[in-house]
Amino acid sequence: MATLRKAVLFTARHSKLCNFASSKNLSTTAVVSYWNKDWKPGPIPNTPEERAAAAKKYGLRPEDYDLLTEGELGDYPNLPLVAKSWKNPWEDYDIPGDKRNFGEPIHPDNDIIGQDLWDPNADGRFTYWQSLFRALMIGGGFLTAYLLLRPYPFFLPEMPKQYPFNDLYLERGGDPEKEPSIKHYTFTPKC
Amino acid sequence: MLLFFTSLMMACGWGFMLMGGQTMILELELMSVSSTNFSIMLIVDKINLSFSMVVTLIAGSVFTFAHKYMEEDHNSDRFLWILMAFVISMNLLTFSGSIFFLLLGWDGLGITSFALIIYYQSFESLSAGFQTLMVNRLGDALISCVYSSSFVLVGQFSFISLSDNFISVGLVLMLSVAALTKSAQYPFSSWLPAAMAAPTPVSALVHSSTLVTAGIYLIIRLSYNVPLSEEVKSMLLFTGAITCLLGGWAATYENDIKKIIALSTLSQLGVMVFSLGLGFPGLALFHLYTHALFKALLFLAAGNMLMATYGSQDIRLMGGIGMAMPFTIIMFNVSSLCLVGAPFLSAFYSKHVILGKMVMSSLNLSSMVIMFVATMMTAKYVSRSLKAISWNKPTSSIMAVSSNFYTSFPVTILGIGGIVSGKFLSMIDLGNLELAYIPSLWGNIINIITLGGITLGLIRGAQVLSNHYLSSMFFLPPSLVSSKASAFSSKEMSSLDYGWLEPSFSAKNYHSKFGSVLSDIGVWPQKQSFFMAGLILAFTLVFVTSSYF
Repeated sequence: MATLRKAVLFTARHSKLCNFASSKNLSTTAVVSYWNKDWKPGPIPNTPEERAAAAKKYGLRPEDYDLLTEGELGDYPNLPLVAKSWKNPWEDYDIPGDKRNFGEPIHPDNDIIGQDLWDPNADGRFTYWQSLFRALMIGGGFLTAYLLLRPYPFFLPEMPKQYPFNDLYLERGGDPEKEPSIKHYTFTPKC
Repeated sequence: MLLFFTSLMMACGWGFMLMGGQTMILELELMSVSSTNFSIMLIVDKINLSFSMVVTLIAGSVFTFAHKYMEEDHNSDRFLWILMAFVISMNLLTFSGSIFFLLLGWDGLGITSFALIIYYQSFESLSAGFQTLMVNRLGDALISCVYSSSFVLVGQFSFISLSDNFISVGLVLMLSVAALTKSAQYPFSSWLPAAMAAPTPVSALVHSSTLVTAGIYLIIRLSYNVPLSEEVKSMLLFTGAITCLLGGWAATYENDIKKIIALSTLSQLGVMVFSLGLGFPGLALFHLYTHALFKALLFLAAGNMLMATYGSQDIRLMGGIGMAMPFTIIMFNVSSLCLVGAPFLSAFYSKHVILGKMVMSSLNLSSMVIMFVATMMTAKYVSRSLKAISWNKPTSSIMAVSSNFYTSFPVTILGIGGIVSGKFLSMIDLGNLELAYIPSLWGNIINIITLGGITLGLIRGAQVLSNHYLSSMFFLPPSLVSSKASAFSSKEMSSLDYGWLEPSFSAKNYHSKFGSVLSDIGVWPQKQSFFMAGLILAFTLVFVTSSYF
């Protein structure tokens, strides 16, 4: 029974991890997820048969398969370095966020051509003059509110502090002859 | 070690100056033209000794941390030397008694901070560093103006010579605007979030506790010699309140942990400037100390987390990181609660009192309303990031990092500082102890606003809302830093990037949409959160009743 329970728990945990890892591939953020040794590129193909096999492995036609000149990545194909923003946005991709189909090999410099990078030549959501105008509007709005409300400041109403002995009249050097009688109400209940 | 020793020495000097109530002025004459002396002038009193104590203490901790954090870097020696040059120029600025000598430390800060921001050499960090340099240049130009006009009009450079006449008021106004550029206040605040391209130890030392407070320190130093005029005060009141609001509000839309902390620094700097505008420079200085300690702690805790996540800074992917590093997450919680002004932690004695003083004083209604909204926003982004990081279920398989002396010692030192410094500093120097006599109704209103912010953060949580007005700090960075704004200067500048605004500016924001799905994994409350709910309830009770103490 214990073995069964352990197996169920393991499967549950394992499947969750798998789901998570597969969803992680969608994200462009660097994350810590496991790496499979089968994804490692194979040795450099020399014969036409090996080239055809390698092209098939990466889902390419043998005519399209071109080897990377550096040779550091083994049989990894030399894919065209085209920014993602140039790919058709209306195509029905498997992974629309990346404009990529399932199993489609990605370029080694994928992080450079990815669409989450800001294209300096693209227009933003707002033009420069729009955003400048709005920034000035908001800053000016705060300033206007500040200036309009300036004559009406917030304050807590308070009275001068009350002291015993007729507000310390004698202690403050008052004339004993003219000592006034000041009564402060203390609101202490009579017992 | 040397820095810790210096800090201890400064603490002794501070105690000595407090007991004697003295001020020492050392002047070393370099040359004199006619009757004007060009001299190196040092002022040693309780303000700059205590400031230098805090700076060197944080610097010591950050150097210890950087030893571990930068160990795999090829140029870590160069990094440490630039950081050391920064600390030295900070101390020059602190002890300077004249504008002539101030310029040395001020420019030293500008140059070293630029060198530190572009330390990781990438296009993004270069543009961030350039942005910082340009904004700081504005302040440098103003200080140069003050320098030349004090030479022509006053005939000497010391702060003591500034008195309450017409010329001095103008000079103080210019110096205050220069200080606002250094402290990233409202129209100049776009560089601080961008400067997070620097390594985390730099963010902990430079962009939370020292460089950005240099401007505030300058205004405090001036205000002890010249009473700030009404115009300067209302300018500070206005900019401080708006900076506090926009920092807090933009932080509620941010998912990058370092940027959240940077924006919260912006918001707290706004609080300090606001308190200067209210006319409480002592309180601003006190908040500067407590804030420096707990913000450096927050950055170091975040740096520890970044080491565990291999550089991923997204809070949505950091859920449950406390399982791997419980001590760090405790310290992260402590410093985040400091940020809210939680009872009996350090900022309770400074930030909460500033809010109390605000109610007590007579001030512009709009500033007060803005400050209340900003307080709510502060509580909101703090609870939001805490929920995503420490109260969430694990969202990614995070490797445990073996904590060692170099990572845990500085966090411990600053953690002690963050917890006790409020009480401790107000006990040692009674000048820090300010009391706000306000009706309990208003005390409760402040607390309820804070609690409302916390609740809002918990409800809305880590969901990604996109509101371009608010997340871009009221359109500030796109207006100041844009290809159009700088197109006239050079063609290369047209490729300046938007830095932390990038996701908002991409045509289709798939990244954020996906992120909101991801963050729904750990929606609060969860089944296991009864204990947490009880804890929050207890905390709430303490918070509400704290106004009666």
